[in-house]
Amino acid sequence: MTHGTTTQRATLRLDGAVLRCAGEWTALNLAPLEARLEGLAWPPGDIHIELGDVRRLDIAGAWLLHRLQQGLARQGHAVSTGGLAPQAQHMLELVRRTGVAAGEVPRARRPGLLEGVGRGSLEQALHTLGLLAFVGELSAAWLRQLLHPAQVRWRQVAHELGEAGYKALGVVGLLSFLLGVVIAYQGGVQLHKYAASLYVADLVGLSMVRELAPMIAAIIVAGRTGSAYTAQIGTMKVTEEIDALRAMGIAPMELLVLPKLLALVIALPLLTVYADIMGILGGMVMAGAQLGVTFPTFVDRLGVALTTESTLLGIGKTPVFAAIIATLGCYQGFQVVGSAESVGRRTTLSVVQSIVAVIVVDAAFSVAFSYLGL
Amino acid sequence: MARADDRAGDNVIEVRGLTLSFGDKLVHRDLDFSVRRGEILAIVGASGCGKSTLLRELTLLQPPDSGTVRLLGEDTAAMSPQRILELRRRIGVLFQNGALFGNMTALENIGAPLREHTALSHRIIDEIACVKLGLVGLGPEDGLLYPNQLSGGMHKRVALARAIALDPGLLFLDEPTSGLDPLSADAFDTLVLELKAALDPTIVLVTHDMDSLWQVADRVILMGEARLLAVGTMQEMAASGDPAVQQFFRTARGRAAESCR
Repeated sequence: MTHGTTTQRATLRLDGAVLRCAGEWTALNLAPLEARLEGLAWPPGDIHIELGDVRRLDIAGAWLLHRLQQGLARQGHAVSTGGLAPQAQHMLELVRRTGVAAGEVPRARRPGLLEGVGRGSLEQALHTLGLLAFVGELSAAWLRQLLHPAQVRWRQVAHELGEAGYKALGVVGLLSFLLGVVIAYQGGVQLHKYAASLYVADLVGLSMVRELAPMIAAIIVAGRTGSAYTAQIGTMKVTEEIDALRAMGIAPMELLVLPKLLALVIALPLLTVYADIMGILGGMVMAGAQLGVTFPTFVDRLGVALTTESTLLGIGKTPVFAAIIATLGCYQGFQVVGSAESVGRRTTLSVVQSIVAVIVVDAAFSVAFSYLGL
Repeated sequence: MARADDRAGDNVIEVRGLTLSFGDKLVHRDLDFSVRRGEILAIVGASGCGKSTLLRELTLLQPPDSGTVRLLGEDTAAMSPQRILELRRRIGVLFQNGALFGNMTALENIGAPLREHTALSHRIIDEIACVKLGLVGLGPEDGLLYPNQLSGGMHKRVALARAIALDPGLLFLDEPTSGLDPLSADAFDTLVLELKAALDPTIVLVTHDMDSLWQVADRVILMGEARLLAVGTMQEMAASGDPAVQQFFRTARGRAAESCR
């Protein structure tokens, strides 16, 4: 076939009571015809459709012709056709035999406002119940394994620890270092006004250790690892691998979820300690460059400001964050049904819910600590 | 009625010297064959002999190491990406597992190529999709189902309806009857023959199904040992004295399918 030049457009022309059709009535050529047909002013009485110049007709073209005949007949015109080649006639017959009528495409029913609200609420309630059931099931499996530590899949735990912990060191280190730099700079400018530059060590040390390092580590882990958990379990659900595990008598909870949970509960506190160190290092570098606080002075001041209690309070929150991220990530993975799109939607949900939950729980910790005077 | 493709000569596909290997593993070397206009050609061979990979090469999804594939008279190696897109609109592919889009209903799946490649209104596209659904033996109400709600047989039918959405002159079917019960597989073979009679596309199919081979294939290509072992009609294959051909076709299953003729 020579390039493109053989493509012949489909045309139609209304000549009194005769509609003259020509060209290639194929799917790719039909769009202009559809618009032309809408705008035609049909004369009353008999209509003849002349098809002798139609060089090719496919299913789409035959449908357009068929629905035109149907439409005209419904408006009370008597319709006749002529000049149709036998193969095109066969095509038209095929389309007619399917019994599809113009304008009778089945549509999915759209729920009304009230029904939508009702269904939405029910779905949310079921979702909450489902999450509670999942947490319950997880706790039961957890307790069983506590009683039989030999059954814990340590190899899996080690693998997950590498994925969630070791491989996150780069990004956690970089971001907490930069966070330390930013805090030292923003706070240092203010402290400098009061000639209290030295207290930049208190500022960076306490804010990093108590709040920011646990938070940044948890948020990075939610984005990096929680999402991976959802996508992995979700894809396994779509490809029936979860069912295969069940059929083999392996509880997915014990093979997939518990090692992830355990690994994250170990990894996140360690990552937080690392984030503490990198954040303070960032603050120290900035304090040295911007405020003239030398490293030994900074470290001395840090020793006074930073109590063991603060450090432990900061790190102590992180196993809770880790449990939230792993539970939500795995739960959303098990909620995947059917398609690739569902995996994407559940992954987004898992990350958003984890981050929201981590921040809310962190706020709750702050309130509780201040109430307890810690 | 003259078809625009007619001037390409009688061969819809011409494969010359096609060679492909993945790393150290040779998939096939120097394949030469042609597919004639309007015929149904079946590619058969033992599992893992590279049938599906060959199909991926013919549908331009996997570039070969060397050799040429001429589709509908055009050398695909020399084509611009734009030309390849245009060529693809004239080719329909039924994938082994259907590959229906999970987030769309059956009707939306069938209408997807029309929606992408034509400016037709959504109303007409939905109606055409309904017609195609009727052609593959399903009712319009089935069009509202999502792929995970379809049974195996329905899944294949919807996938076939999508493959013929643009009335392609060339249709590739990858294991169309695999995973279907004998009754559904028979019905599917009949459907393919009906569509062939009505729309007259050239069909290339990969299959393991001996009944399918006897029922639908005009010619058969047997692959093995990284080359073509034999080419011919099923009668010729069944009568062949070549041990490799005999080994494949003279199995119990092959004989049972033959005796049912």
